[in-house]
Order: sequence, then structure tokens, then C-alpha cells
Amino acid sequence: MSKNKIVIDLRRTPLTPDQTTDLHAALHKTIVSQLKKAAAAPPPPKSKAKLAVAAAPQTAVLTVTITGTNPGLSNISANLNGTVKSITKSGTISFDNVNSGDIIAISGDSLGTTSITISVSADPINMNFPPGHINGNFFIN
Amino acid sequence: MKYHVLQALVGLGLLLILNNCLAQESTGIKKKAVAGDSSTHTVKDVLTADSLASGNTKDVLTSFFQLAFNKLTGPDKELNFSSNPFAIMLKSDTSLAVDTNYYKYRVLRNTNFGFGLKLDSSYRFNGFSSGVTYALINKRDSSTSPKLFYEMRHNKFYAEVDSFQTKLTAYTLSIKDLNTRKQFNQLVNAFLSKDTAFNKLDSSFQRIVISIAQANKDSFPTILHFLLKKPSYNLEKMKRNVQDSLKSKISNDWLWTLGLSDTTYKDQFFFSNIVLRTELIKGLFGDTITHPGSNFELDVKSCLNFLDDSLVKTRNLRRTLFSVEPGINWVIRSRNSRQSWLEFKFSGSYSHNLTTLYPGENRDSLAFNGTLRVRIINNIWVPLTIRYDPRSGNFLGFLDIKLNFSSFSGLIKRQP
Repeated sequence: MSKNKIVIDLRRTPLTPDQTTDLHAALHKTIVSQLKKAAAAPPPPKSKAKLAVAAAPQTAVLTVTITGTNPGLSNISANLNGTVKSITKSGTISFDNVNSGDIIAISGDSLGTTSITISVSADPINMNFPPGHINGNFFIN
Repeated sequence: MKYHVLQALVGLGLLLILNNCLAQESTGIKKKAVAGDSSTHTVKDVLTADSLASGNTKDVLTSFFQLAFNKLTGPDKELNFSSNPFAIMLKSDTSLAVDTNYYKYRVLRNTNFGFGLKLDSSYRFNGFSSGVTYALINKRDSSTSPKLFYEMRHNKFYAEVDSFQTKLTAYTLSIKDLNTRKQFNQLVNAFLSKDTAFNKLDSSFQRIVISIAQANKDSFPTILHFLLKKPSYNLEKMKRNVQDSLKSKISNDWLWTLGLSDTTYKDQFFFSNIVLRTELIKGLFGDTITHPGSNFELDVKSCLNFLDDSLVKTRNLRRTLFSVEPGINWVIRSRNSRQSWLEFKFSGSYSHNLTTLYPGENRDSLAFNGTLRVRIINNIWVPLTIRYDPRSGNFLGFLDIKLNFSSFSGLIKRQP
């Protein structure tokens, strides 16, 4: 007899040898077909949060476009975990080792209209500010 | 007959220009609404604080364009168009607004050009005119004012908002679950830079924000007051109000222009006169925040006018007149919108003939002028000028209509 078996206690139910054989065959067929279906199905999806945690650190580039003022009449700062980088005219700010769940905080002043776009998957992906004081946070997905 | 045809053609041309510009602007508005962001830069982006400028200031230097029907009641009528070349270029190439380009085109931004038609009392063509004006000093431009930028960098409220953002970010990063952290960050962004009232945000977020502010009462006095006393407000609105207050500090600053204009004869392209003009404006007695109801402007004009000497048979420019006109413009503003709606300018003008006098002509003359300027709707001003000559005892009156366009959207929406 196979090692991989299931034992069913039939108590006092009388079965003829043929009935016992049929029952074994039916049980075997049902279980094998279910096992085959289970093996063919794709693995259950893992949660996005767990995937993100596993993602490798990346480089985030912030593209800052300032319009309607002269260079030098803006001061835009980006803060990632205490590391602060600033620019005073249109250009880019980049951070290495950016992980999922990090927040890049933007603050500053500009006499012009400011548009900031981030290169990695983030929420939001783009922020626009009218002339004046600027505040906003990028959440890295 | 041909003059009437010319009149009709000129009128039609101006209507077409106006119609075309209105159409362009309405298209721009639609595009912007679809795009949903400010990456589509419009002329309006660079014309800052324009709505608060007095009508007198707009006559000196227009930010986009001005159509003027001058001396409608006098024998020599004028139909003038003046504009800012940079604003017109920006309509077709929005990349000019990017800060590096913006600086490159600073000369054009400070320049106005204009041309016009001279008409006689029967509205017949009486010569062309053209001119150019350059702002030697323009400290009222809020897009390029180092003084305004300095005020922003040292504003206490802005520093308080930055500190509060740091606290909120630290709290957000303390949330372990990433989905919850992301949702909380969306609320932080709505709180910091969206036009949503604080009391319309998530109630648990409101409690957390208030508790963070209360834990640091001394650091966030203004924000705590807003959270507890004015929850229907939002931080973005408060920042806008502060920015408007800072802008008003430069709205009365110096503006000094230098200009050159000329007029041709009606039957020959030859100058009948050339005028070298300078004008200086400076607001007096505080700004529109400290004096919201009304304030005064010092306005000093000076001209050197080269004219045709009619004693010489050939056409020439041998007659030279110098004039200076110092005046005070009283600007009456709406207390809420701070927009000027009525202005009265009183000035005295002194004129001196530098060349040969005509028989019976005085070398020096003096006159007193009063100009009442009424804003009919947002972009349309009607100035009525009365001039009194004390020597002859005569009064002269001129009625003008000035249409100032900072952006066409204002005209379309008929803003109050």
C-alpha cells in the first residue's frame, strides 16, 4: 500500500469487496483531480506593500521648472530624511538611495510659477505652485 | 470719400485684432482646464499685481496692451494702440517664460511700443503716430522684485508653515503601514497646498494636526489660531493673503520711463513732430494695506517737443518746446479688492519755447490741469481732462477712453 494514503473509518457500514473497490477508485479520482487543479493555479498575489519593501533603493530626480521670474528669485528646497538640497533657478535635484515609503518634502519661495516632477513612482508625480510660498510632499511608492 | 473708407478699414482692423485675441484667450482657458496643471504657461502668469495698478500707471507703462481713444471732444482726435512686445511673443512661445529666458528678454519686458492714427474734427485721417517707451526703473514688477523676494524669505508666517510641515512629515514617517502613510501624506498635501477648508478634511486628520500644533503652542501660534478659530479657512488661502500683503509693499514703488514718439503728416511720410518724453511715478503715504481706501501718487512728466516751424516754407523740425508737468494723483480704491475705481489728478504744466517766437507769442506759459479718471468696468477707464490757462482764462476739455488688457480672460469673465 502507498505511503501517501487517507484512512476512512466506515464504522458499521457493510460494503462488498466490489463496493469497497469502487469507493477507493472514486475517492482517488476526485482527490487527484483537485490536486492537479491546485498545482496548475497561479500562486496567490503578494501584497503590494510587501513587494515595495523588497524593492531596491533607487535614484529620484526632481525636475524643477520655474516660469515668470528671473533666475535667483526662487529658492526651492527638497528634504529627504534630513538631507536638504536647494536650487535657485530651473534645474534638477537628485537623491540616491530612495526607498519605498520615503517622503521628499518640498518647501521654499518663488516669485514665479513652479512646477516639480519626480522621476520615480510617487504620489503625486507632479506638483504645481503659484508665485509665493511653496509646501508639498512626495510619497515614494 | 477715401478718408471714410480708410476710417472704416482701420475700425474693422482693430475689431478683427480684438476678436482674434479674445478667441485666442478663450482657447487658452479651455486648454488649461483640460490639462489641469500650470505647465501650460499663459500671459497671465507673468503679469503680476496688474489688477492693483492705478489707471494712471497703466497709461505710463502697459503690461499687455492698451487701446486708447484720446481727445474725443477735441479738434485733434487720436486712436492709439500700445503694447508690451514680450507679452505678445509669449502668446506664441510659452517657453520664453522659463526663468532663464525671462531674464534674457528683460529689455523687451520693460518696453512698450505703440502706433496710432491722428484724426481731425470730422474724424478724417490727419497723420500717423508711433512711439516707444522703456522703463528705466520699474520697482513695481512683482515678478522681478528682489525686495519682495527678501520679504518672502524673511516672513515669519512662511517660516512657521515650513516648521509645521517638518512636524507633519515626521509624524507621517512614523506611521508603519505604508498604505496608511500614503493616505495620510495625501491629506498633508491637501492641508498644505490645496484650497480645501480645514474642517472639510478627514476628522481624525484634523485631530492629529491640532494635537501637533497644541504640543508646540509657542512655535505655531498663527497656525493654531487658524485651526481652532477659523477652521473654514485653509492654509493655501492664508499664504495667498500674506503674499498679497507683501506685494502691496512694492505696488507704490518707483517707476521711471523714457520715451520717444513721432507724428507724420497726412500726405507725406515726414515727421511733423518728435517728442522725447520722460515720466516718473512714486506712490506716497504707505501702501494699499496700510491705506486700503485711498492713496496718492506723485507723477512728474517732462517733454522736449520738436515741431514744424510754420514760418519756414519747407517742412522742418526747427521749433523746440520744453515742458514739465508735476502732479499728484489721488487713487480711490475698493477696500475689499484694493482695485482703483476712481482717480483724480491735479497737475500744473510749465512750457518754455527754446527757439524763435511767433509774433505775439510768449516764451513761457503756465497751465493747470485736472484729470478725473473713472473705471467703468475692469479694463475700461474713461479719463476726462480739464485744462485751464490762467493767462487767457480759457478752459479746455478732453475726453478719452482707455481699454487696458492684462489678460483677455478678465474681459471675457467681466470680473468686477
